[in-house]
Amino acid sequence: MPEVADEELVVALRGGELAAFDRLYARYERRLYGYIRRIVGESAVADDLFQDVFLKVLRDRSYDPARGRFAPWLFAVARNACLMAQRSERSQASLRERAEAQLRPGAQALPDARLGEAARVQAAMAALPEAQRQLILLKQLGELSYREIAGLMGVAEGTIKSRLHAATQAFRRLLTEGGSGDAL
Amino acid sequence: MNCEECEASLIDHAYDELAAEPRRAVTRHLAECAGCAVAYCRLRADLDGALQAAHEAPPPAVRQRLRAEVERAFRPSWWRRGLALVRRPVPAYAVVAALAIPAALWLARTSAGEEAAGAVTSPRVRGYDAAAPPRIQRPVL
Repeated sequence: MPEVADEELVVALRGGELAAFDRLYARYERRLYGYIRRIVGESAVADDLFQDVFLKVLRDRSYDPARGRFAPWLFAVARNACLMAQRSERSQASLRERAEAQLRPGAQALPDARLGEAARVQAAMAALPEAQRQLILLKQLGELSYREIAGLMGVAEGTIKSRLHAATQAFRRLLTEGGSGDAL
Repeated sequence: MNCEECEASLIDHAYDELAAEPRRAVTRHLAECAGCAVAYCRLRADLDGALQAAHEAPPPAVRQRLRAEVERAFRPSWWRRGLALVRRPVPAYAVVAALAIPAALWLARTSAGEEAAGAVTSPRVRGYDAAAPPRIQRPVL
């Protein structure tokens, strides 16, 4: 069965085909929720944001599927929603601290080595500065191109490229240091 | 391409952001240079790890709430659903046609047969019995 493009699914959903939503949801639930969760930390806030963002993107007729990809639009809306949620928090620092505490390897018992590795990666991601974490998440989870990220953030493509290089190197450095157990 | 140039392109290569020609050059170099190939594999492993760790499914209740909202927002009205039924592609009607055409032919044949039988003997003549007494017996005198 040929893969239907996201944009075609959006058109179908707007035409009343509810099955198109199920397919879109299956494609994006883990990526979008993972992105929001990594940014806002708290699961209750992430649940609400995830629902709001998905619904807003589908309802918003200002997005024209014929003129652009769905994923950049979805993640642009998600990013804005996360930023607004963060602003509404009294202290961004306390929010970050809570998110890190939730994602820290020692926060929960991890039964095997694979989960330990995942926790180490999550800790390295959480320890990254906000802007660098955003870039890696948009690239990896959003599967956006340098150009799309640049458009979303309103900066030059070359700037995104160099920032993403720096973010990737910082992430790998944290991962290595986290492995030795003294960085986090 | 040397190792230094390759190393500078590895992140772009891992993110699939190289143009066709540089990508071919990096791929060729990785096939020939074990050191760079190992470095690339490590980079990919780290990035894949980041991706896997970041994936997270929302709770099922979130999906149910969202599905209900989407149904409310996008479920077509009754007349749109009726219109969609009429506009269905031809194969959808094939079954109906396959059943309706033989039924129509059978009906046509049956009614034609009855008409033909009616033309040979009229109902009045069919009910006549010569041995039976006349229905109305009037005295002759």
